Amino acid sequence: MKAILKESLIVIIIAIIFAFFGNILNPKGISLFPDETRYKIDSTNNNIDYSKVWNDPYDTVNNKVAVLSGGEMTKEGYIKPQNINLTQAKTLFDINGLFIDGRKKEEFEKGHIKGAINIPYEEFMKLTVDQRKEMMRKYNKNGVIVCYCDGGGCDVSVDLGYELAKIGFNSVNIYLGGYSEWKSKGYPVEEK
Amino acid sequence: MLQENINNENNKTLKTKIFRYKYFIFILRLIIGVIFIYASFGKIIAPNDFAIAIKNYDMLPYSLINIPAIIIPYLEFFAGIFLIFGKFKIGSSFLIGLMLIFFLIGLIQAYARGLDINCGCFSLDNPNSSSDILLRIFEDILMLIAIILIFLYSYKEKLLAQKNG
Repeated sequence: MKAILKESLIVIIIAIIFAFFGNILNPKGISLFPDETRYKIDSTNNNIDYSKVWNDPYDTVNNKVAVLSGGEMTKEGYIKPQNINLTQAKTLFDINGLFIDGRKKEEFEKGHIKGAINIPYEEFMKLTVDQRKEMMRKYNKNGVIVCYCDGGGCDVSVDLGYELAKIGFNSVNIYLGGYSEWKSKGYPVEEK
Repeated sequence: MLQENINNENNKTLKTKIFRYKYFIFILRLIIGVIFIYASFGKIIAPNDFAIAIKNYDMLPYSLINIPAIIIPYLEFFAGIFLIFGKFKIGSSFLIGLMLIFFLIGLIQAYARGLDINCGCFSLDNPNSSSDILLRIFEDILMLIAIILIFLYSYKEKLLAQKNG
């Protein structure tokens, strides 16, 4: 019994020491505690008047600033995506924001928010950073983007939103209510 | 004389039995060790993807997912290394057994709840993830059986060594 505890403890301590330093040295290392606000509605963004915003998601020539996302610059050097509610999502829909559906292709084809494009998160993550940039080249870096998925417990909208922000999109919004909430309110959808 | 012969025969068969076991256990150690080292690489390189995989299991509060995401891959790596090289065999097989039990619980509850997740077992970007949960459960059980054998053998070996010396 003693041997089990002793040997286990040695292995654990070695692993923890290497994990700690390995994580610091790893360029993709993560902080010990994650950002709690990542999956919650941000209460501080309510003062942004989305209705006065002009937007053209395909204007890559001027890359005009459509809306200041209001998200702060992160340590990693990208503008933090904002989590938004249904009302805000509808306003961004009305000003021609680019809706991106992060779900799988089959789910997207069954039904999605009207005009949304499909970027399955898992497929997106298989690409290299350069391939991701190339794929997103046709979109305005400063245009309003709204990522969503099913709503409820799904997180691909959030995870995809952060990946888009990391490759230089400055106004990424994440609509946590997702497709199910949107559809239940009778807002425009496209269904098979 | 006859009795002596029988005793000798018994000793011989016992020795060959242990000998045979020894190689069998060594091969098991090699297999499990290599699997664990291989499984740890992707997670060590991209802890964030592994953290997301852990989050999707929905078993830990969100604020606590990063710590296991940082430590578990290294634990897999070192337990695998020690298992192969035969150092701290009892400890590393015990820890691998514990990890396999945790993974099994995670997989079974995810399967039972119908969670559509990437298992986070080996490759972190497998798109056809949810369909192979049953296969992963099966693999986990096989590895668990193997590691229990390794653990029991190493433990007995240690007890024997203590008695003899």
